[in-house]
Amino acid sequence: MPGTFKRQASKVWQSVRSIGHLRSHSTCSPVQEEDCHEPEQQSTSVREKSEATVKSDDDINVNVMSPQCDVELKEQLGRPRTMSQGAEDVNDAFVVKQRIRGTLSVGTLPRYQGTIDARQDSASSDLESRKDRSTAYGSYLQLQELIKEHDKQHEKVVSDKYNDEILKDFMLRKKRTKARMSLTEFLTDPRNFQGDEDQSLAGKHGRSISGKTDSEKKSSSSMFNFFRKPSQRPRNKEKHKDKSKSTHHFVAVSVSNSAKCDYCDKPLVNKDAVKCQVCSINTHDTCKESIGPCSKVSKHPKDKPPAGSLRDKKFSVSTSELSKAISFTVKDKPRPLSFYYGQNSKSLPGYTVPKQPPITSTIGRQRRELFHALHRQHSSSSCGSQPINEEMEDPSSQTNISETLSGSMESLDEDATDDAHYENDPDLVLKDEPESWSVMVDKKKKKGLSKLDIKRQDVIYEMIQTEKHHVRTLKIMQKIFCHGMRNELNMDPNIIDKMFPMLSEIIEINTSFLNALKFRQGRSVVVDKIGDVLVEQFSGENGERMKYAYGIFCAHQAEAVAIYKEYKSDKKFLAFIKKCSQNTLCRRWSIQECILAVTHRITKYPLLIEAIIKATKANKADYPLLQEANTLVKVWSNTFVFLGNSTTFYRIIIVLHSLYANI
Amino acid sequence: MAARSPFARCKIVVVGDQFCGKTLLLNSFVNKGKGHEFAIFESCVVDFDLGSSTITLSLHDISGQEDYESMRNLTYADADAFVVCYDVSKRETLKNAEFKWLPEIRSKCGEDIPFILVGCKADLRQILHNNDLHKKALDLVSIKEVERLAARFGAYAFFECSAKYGRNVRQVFEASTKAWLDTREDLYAYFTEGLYC
Repeated sequence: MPGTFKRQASKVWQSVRSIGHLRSHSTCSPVQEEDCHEPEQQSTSVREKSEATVKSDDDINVNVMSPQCDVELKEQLGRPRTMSQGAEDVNDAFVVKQRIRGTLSVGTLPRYQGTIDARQDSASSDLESRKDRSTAYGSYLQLQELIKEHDKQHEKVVSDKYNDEILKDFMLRKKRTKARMSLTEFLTDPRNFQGDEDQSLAGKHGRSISGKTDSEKKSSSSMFNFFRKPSQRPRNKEKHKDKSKSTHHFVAVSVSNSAKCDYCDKPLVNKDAVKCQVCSINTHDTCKESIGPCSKVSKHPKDKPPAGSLRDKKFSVSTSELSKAISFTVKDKPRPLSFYYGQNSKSLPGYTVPKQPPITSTIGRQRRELFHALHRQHSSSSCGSQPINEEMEDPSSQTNISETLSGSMESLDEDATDDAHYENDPDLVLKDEPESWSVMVDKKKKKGLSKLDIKRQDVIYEMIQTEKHHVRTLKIMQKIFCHGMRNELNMDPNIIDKMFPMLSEIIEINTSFLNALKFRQGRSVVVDKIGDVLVEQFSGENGERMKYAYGIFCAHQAEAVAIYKEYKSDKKFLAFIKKCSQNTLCRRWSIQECILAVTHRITKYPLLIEAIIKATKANKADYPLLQEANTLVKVWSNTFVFLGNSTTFYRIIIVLHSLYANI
Repeated sequence: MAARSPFARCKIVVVGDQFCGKTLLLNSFVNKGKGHEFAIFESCVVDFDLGSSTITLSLHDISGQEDYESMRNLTYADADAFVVCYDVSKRETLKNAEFKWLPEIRSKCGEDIPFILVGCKADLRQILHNNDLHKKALDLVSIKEVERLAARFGAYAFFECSAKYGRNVRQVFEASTKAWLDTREDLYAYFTEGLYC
């Protein structure tokens, strides 16, 4: 039999070995290559080995093997071999693989849950011993859980330290508020019931009031508005923003006479005007609800802790500044699911682009980098789940009233904005566009061009078009599937995160790439130079970022599909998927196809670049750049596709994933 | 148009050597590449009219993944039928179909996975004959030869097609859909007799 099968058999052999090691609770030892020398004996020994593994499995775990599995196996062993001569070892390898798959599919997943639960009790052990334990259990999922746990602890330390500062600040401010006016005073003051409570409050506290409070007054019942303590207002504002996903950060501003509202085009003078800090859009306070999502969501000012500036401006801060401080304290409370999602859609906190190339010869570096990457993946979900400092919260009945009230109001608001949010996105809308450049452009423009040049423009056009489609697929995943799963099915955000790992990151990367391409296309009808854009995208910081995001996505794809299938048995979920695929935007794609399309995209870049090179004359300035981009993109896809080949650590992960893939 | 079930969806994956014509075959099937050759095929979901009923096909191309086994495995997951391609002008692609692609899909998707064997670029035969290059034309993989092989492999059907001229392209996908329906007894009656609603 040709080499491929032998390789495959040896791969299975190796996987069996490594799993055998794992199962027997020893630490993960590197696979020794010498063991795979005799291919003739290999297949039989593989079978023996795998049975041995299975046996030991039975000892460890009673519910690992289901009876069906054995029956299936016997069938496979007894089945007449349909393949022609020489296929024996392939068949054996296949059988072994089936066997392993059987044990893994039944065994690891339920066990994983149990151990995680057990482990939560003993959180005191250090990372190193945990790592060993995790490898002993041999499940990648567990490993992730461990890393996540570690990250949580790590972040707790950081945020606790950070909280202290903010809490101190908060306390001081609270004291001040109390000294100025007690609740009974406030309630007895008739001015507070005359509709201009905010102004009177503002006068008393010497603070400027943002336009936000006015709108809240209008949207929620003004009867109960005065119950809301000033400290809660910004918090609700934050919550509200996360839900409606319009991540503008409005601040009250005074504007010049000539300024106009960016939404209704009427002058801003003599009305409450607000400005978004991020995209610097000016609008009426009343119009701001109607404005679409913020165009620069990624540069979220609130993601960066305002540590230094906070203390300096302690008592002379504006409301927006305060809201920053308070939103950070309240973040550590358990939040509704939507809160976590809001985090996901922004750039992940604590993310820095690694400067070093990801593949080095040492195993330790690679592990660290994997941790780093996983850390980034999970940091979004772990940062919201800190223990609460209940002392700071006033457990009075008023808090509850205002909370429930604002909660119900928000859900109403959300319904109003929900439908609009993805129809506004220009990337999502299906447009009828010509399928090729030569069809789109009229004859006059093509006159001076040779056949080869036209071909070149066609491929470039195709690249941009398909990139557009890709971004659209990504956004469908985010805005229809993720959003729906979160809001309609109330699914655990961690599960959604696992189903679509690194999605927001990938969207960011590809949107910026698409914008660069579009910009180049917009400059002239005939795109003269494109190599530089490609080189920029696939090298340096951008390249590293892309490599990481896609690497994580690919590594988790099998897991994601497995989770999806698990949920597919749920009727509610199935109905949701059915509803989604009827959405015209989805083009009847299901989640599985979307996930597959993301990984497919990276393998298509080399094809496109090669096609451009083919249609480019060697003496053109673009030619060397394209060549460079081609080598870059090839090396780049090689690195993460073959991650498994470099170290045992990665190999086990890849093998486990390939086994999960067919469950 | 007969009613269709949104979840009875046939996932077809086209495999074969590099440059043997997979992408063009798919693009020509979804009517995209008329008069224009596209460099890549984007996976897509299309409705396929079988006459009595309509079936939803999910089409996938492994172009670009020829060198990446782990990536192909992800594509193969849950495939319902395969189209194994070879190039009629290159004998080694047929060899690869036999010794590389077939065993691969069988090991990943089970021994009984239905597949169609397709010889691409069949128009080359005609071109060589027209140019009086009969000797060269003899070097091409002959139909009889492959028919025997296809029977031995256990292929559901064998076609020679020319994506450039759209010859036999439809038949390839029709046959692969039927091959899938054969394995799905529960759906077969619905789709073939138009009973499904």
